[in-house]
Amino acid sequence: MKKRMLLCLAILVYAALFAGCWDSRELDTLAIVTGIGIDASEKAGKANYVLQVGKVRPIAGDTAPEDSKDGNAYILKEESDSILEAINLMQCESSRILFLHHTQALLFGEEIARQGILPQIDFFLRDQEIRMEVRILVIEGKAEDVLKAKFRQEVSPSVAIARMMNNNESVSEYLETSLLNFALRLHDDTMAQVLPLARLNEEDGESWLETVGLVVLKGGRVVGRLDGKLTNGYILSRGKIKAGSITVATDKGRATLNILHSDSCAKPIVGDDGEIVLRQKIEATMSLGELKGFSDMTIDEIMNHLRGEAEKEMVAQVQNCFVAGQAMNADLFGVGSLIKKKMPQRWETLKVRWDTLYPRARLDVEATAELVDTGQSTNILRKGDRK
Amino acid sequence: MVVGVKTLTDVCLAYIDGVADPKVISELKYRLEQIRVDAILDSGYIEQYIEDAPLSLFSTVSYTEKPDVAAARVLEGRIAIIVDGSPFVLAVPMLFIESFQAAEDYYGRVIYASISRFMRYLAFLLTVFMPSLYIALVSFHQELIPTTLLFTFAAAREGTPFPAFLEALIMVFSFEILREAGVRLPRPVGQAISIVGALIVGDAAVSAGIVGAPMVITIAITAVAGFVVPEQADAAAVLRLITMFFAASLGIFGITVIFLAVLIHLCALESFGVPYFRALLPSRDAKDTLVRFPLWSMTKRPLDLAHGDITRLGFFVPPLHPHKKREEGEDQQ
Repeated sequence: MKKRMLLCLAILVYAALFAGCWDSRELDTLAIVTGIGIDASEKAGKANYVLQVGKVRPIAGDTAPEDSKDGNAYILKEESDSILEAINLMQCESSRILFLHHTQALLFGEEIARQGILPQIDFFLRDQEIRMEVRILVIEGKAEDVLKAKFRQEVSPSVAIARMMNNNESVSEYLETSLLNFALRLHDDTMAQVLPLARLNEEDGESWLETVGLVVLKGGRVVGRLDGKLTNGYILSRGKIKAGSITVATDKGRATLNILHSDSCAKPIVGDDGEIVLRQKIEATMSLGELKGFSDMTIDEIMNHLRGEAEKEMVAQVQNCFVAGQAMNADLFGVGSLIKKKMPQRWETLKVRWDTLYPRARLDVEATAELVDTGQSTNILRKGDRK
Repeated sequence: MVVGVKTLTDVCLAYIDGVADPKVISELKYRLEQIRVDAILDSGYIEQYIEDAPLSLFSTVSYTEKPDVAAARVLEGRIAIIVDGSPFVLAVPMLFIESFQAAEDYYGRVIYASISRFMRYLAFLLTVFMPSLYIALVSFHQELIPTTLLFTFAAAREGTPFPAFLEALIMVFSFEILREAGVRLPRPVGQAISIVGALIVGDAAVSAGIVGAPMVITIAITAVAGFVVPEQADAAAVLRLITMFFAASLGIFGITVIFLAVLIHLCALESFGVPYFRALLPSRDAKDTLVRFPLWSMTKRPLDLAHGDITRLGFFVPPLHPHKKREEGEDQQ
């Protein structure tokens, strides 16, 4: 018994010693990568890969430099055939081990996104160091500029991007663009993917990022973009909105309605001649956010009036978005997938002609809005109205 | 009973006949009779001669200085050993959870007592595993640290010369030295020691860049948490060092290995025939383990400790709605 105990003890101790601290990396031997950018290169088949590495400033001792103005990150850049080759090349230039686990954002320049992002993304799906929650973003212009930029509030641009995307996701889960989500949606037959499009603004040496809408991808290539209003139409058609607003402007005044939640369901109808109609129903619950004008109406009249106008506005937005999708020949609403799901046999015959059928498809939207709340005030501002 | 050939120390066993287990009584008497040494100077001597696992990190004989605690233990069916000239009263059999049960738990009200009981378990885990977790995280599993926290840690590690394990060892040992010095000295001097040692040296070590600030915080919390469960403080101190060593060589995996090894050991441990983890098994004793139930709900004495007269309290309805009940009773009359 004693011998066995000793043996166990010896094995335990030797296990610890022989392992020799394998895989142990002290924190000060790591270069923590916070963002990765990919830009198009002038040479065919190559791309510019940019890594943003967070700068670590020692707080121990009084050696801490005061010059925090030169940014909190530095850039590693390499032109190469593939990202892994680029990272290996960068490793040769770096005194520290490149540590990819904490990558917050993956940025694609507009140009490379147009050439296709699928060949670039394989490494990220395969490598175990990259998290599936990495946000993917398309940048107007070059991704490198964003990674180099000095941001107004956030210490690191990549953290700023991740936080911005987080806010976006609170509007609708369809705006979530984690690597995992994107990869999952790639498997869909016809449905076009979307990725957020951001623009870097700069004024007085300060930069900030602005999401300007969505880019539409077909087969991993950018085929067009949706601006703010079209984006709104897109998420309205997808349903499951958790927050958002819609602005209604009539000749009587102007009102902004907060969308509390909305849902949508769609049903494809295929005629004998291959004519496709998508019937979509959208139900939204809203509250009154802001009123301007409407001075000669009672609050009940306003609410009734706005409800009708909001429905019209929703229909228009969704309709516009559908048309925009058709113009790009990108199946934004997933009509093809719906047909495949509901009538698989029919889909087999439609599939081959899909690219010619889809631009002729029609959308039939029916929107119902419910105005449930007037906000904190039940009246409208008017002079001499005190009772 | 007299033990010690030269010192002739009086040793007294206190138990309730009909509540304490006769087998434990005879076993204890037998073990005491086996002691043929020349001196018993303190109850600690007795403890070492009668305990079940002398080489274990965990003690299997409990001790207390408080008469109420000793009385409570006797009432639960344990046997108290009172040694002449020692303020410490031993009690057997000992259960693991005993170290986490404070007298104040039973004197205070239920909900807060349960919270502080829970805190004690947490503090024990912290004092054993916190330095090793910190070592494992910063030298093996940086991907588990949230990004912003990682940069804070990295900033503190930047420029400190020693690896995290060595840093932790320095801190733990300097703390142990400080504590030892504080205990040996008279109280006013002891306070001066802790101020000079902890405040000045700690602060200087950080600002000189020898030790990182997160490490100082970790060790400080570890040290303070160690005082929450004084009965297991010695076991915790040794365990802490072992887990630190394994965390430094194998990361979280090493901590897991040690945790499992200790768990297996604790499950196998017995004190006078009673399993060390007895009350942690699902049974009626669970009312007094992780949380403390109201006194009126603990109607029976602990299992395996008490034999024979196991009822503490007959059927008792707490006065939840006294006015209502009394009125109803009057109506019936």
